[in-house]
Amino acid sequence: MIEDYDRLVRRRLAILAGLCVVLLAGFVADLVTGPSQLSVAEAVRGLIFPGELSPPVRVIIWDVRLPQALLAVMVGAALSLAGAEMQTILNNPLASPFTLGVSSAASLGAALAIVLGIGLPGIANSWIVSGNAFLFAFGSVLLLQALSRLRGTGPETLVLFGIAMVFTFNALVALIQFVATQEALQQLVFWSMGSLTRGNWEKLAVLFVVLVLVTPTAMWSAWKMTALRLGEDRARSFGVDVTRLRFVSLLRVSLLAATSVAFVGTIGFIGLVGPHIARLLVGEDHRFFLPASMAAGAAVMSLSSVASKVIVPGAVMPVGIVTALIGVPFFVALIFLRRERT
Amino acid sequence: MSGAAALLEVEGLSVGYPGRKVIDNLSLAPIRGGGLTALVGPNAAGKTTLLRGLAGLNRASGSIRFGGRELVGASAAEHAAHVTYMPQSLPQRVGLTVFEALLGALKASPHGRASSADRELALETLARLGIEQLAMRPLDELSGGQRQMASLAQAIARRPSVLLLDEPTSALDLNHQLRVMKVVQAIARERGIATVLVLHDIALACRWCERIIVLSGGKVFADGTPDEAVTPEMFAGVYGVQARVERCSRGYLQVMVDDAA
Repeated sequence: MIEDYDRLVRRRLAILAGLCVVLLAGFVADLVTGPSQLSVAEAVRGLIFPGELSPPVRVIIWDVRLPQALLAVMVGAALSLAGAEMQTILNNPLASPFTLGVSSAASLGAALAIVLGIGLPGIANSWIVSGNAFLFAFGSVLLLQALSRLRGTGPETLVLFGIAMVFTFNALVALIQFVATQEALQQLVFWSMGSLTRGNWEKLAVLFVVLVLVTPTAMWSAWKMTALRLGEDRARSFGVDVTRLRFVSLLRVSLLAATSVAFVGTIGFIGLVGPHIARLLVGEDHRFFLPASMAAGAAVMSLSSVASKVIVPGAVMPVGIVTALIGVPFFVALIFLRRERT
Repeated sequence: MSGAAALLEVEGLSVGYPGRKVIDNLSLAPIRGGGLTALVGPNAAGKTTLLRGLAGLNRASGSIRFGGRELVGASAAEHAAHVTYMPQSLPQRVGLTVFEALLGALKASPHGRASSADRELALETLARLGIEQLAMRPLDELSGGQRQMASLAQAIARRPSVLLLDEPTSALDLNHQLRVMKVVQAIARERGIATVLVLHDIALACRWCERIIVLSGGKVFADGTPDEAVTPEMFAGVYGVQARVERCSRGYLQVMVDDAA
């Protein structure tokens, strides 16, 4: 029987490796897709030997395509990890940074900066929108956090509170849109569609540091989160400090989601779909579930980025639109697939 | 039985929920290791609340001592080192196999065991409960009875000194009830575990438990051997029914309910 278990573990590792291959393929496709066509060989050579490239191609690869492709991978991984953790700690398969108000909070922060020019003092102009979006997104998770510390507040209340936040923030954004000038309104609408074109090396570095700091601590809690899937009472009886686990996990979620949304705007469904794909493929042993969620989210995001460049020839659609367009039917298909299995 | 088993002592215990005390200042004679103690009583008598208080899941005041160590106010990890609680059911839609869930139960809190030792322990527990064939089955595909067995395996595998089982036989057919009670009794005896079970089936409690505590309205109505605790007066006073308690040809107490009191 131990052999059966070892076989199961090997199968899950193979699936994880398969997801990474899909991710790599998506990443390379993202690099070569765009208004100026590049071959795979050219792109790969350009990455390894940038000195051999002509200046225009170097600019395309290193200043445009690579930052955007890497941003797609990192944002996909970050949002999906955030969604996976949220779904586990709130015991709700619909929980994600998008459905629980983090993205709406970021939009409100961005709207304040774009329309009313309200931002944190001392922040450079180029960072004011991202800074505000981060602050509001982070604040919204902290608000959820504060509520979770109240006595007698269960995960269901947190989910309801998250949904209430979505409506509240959306209403406030609508109010700001109502008083916005035409130009500011256009800017805000474009921001809230979510786009990878805002990627640059500075933002990538920040997101990379967040991922490097957060991922190991999430993996360190993998067994605790696995035990939490067996029920809160049971996990507590097994010695898991569930209150602390939730607190630290929501802190990770707030960093991951706030940083991602601040840099690319509203990206729906990745935080929802990534964990669901992973759950379907590797189950909920969080040693596999968390990395598989990251890989699945990153792969879907990369493929969405490719799709955003090829759907309308000659134009790059905001990737947030594509993730929603691809995400919704995909999600519905997943639900039906799951229903058939059970 | 493994040496002199430690005692579980409960003194002046109050347990409840925010704004509502269900158990108020309850004291019990020490519960000894190695035997089964049944908690019985009508709905809303406070059985599950008392069990959750003993497990450290509900805020409690007073004293719960095990082996001389005070557990009221102890951390989740300290509690888990001695006490394991098995709730009534496993949650639905969990993407884990029986074996993975068992490993999760063993690895949830740091214990310093090697990974291979955990796997051996998990395997041994499944074999002990006779459900090793379920090891690689997803929890979601199990029947109610199989889920309850998988849940029991998680509790037993942790090798607690105090085992608290909330209606461990509620979803089981007669054959599985017998298997569960037999194995729980045998393991409690072997390992000197102080085992407290919430049971609704009083005949089952009389058959397998050396001590029965009858709770009513959060207070102890009767506490003693089955002969002492299970009486027609108890049925009339606690359940509001007329019942006969008779001994069958094998010497076990049987309960026959005739009418409302």
